[in-house]
Amino acid sequence: MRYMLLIYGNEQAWESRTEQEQQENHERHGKFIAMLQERGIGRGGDALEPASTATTVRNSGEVGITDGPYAETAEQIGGYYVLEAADLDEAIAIAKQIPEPIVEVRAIAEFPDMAN
Amino acid sequence: MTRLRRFDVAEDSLQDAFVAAARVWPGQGVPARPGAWLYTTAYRRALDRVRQEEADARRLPLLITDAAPQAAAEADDDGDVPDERLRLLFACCHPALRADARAALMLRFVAGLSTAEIARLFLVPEPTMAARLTRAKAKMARAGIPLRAPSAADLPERVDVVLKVIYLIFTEGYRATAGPELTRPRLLRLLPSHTKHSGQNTRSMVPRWMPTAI
Repeated sequence: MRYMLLIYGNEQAWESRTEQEQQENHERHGKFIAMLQERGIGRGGDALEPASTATTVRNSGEVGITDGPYAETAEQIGGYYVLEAADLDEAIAIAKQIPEPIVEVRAIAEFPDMAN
Repeated sequence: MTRLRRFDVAEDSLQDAFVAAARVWPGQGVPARPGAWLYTTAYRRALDRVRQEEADARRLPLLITDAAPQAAAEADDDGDVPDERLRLLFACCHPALRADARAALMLRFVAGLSTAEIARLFLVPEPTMAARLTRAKAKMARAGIPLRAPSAADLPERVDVVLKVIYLIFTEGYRATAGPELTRPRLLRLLPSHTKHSGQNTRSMVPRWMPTAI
């Protein structure tokens, strides 16, 4: 079986961490990733940009895009795609082709000095 | 500015260009095209800043790399500036930004109004407007909103906000928030003379008696 492990947290607390605290957190994740690699069970993972920078795409009903994350509670996460796009416009254009009613588009955070 | 997705860098770099102008122009004289001089200086300074950040920061700066620095030299022509402004205007009303943030962004970065002036136009406290602008700028940079001329298909959903902003620019030009003059004719000159909506021309919004009207 494959499993997806979703990470939740207080974004305000994340954003207000000091440089050193962030570094320590990166190192802890580095150790975790090393453990996954050692056991050969890692299948990828990323940090996301904050939910406040999300864009929600609606493909049915009131079709269109809105600023912010998908915040309603009736629907739950049902799947995901990771893809490479030049910018948000391209990512949104592709999100519109997903045959599902609601898609939240979040940029993946880049950490150039961290080898995943 | 549309080459950078970074408003903060663009703002700081423009500031640097004005500082450089204050230093250089009194000695060497004002260049033939002051606007182009400032634009080029600011762009080069922005590139320096971004390179500097690349060296220091862990986070990858979101620099649009499709425009080679060579293009910057060609863009020295004053004639490119109105296009640049329009491109910026339409990028600021990207539908992935909240509607109330779009108009505020345009007033800040296209019309160059201060946060206090924009807050007054929207009837909100200045800190509220400052927070709204900060959040919108962060979204633009971190979500990868491109600054480029929209396609014809994008125009219908963006043109309403653009028209609203043109009207607000007119309002601020017609009755200034601060400063010695009641009107700000230079602001009114920003208004495109060819913007038409339901057959109405923005020029017609400017009273005839205004001596410095566009």
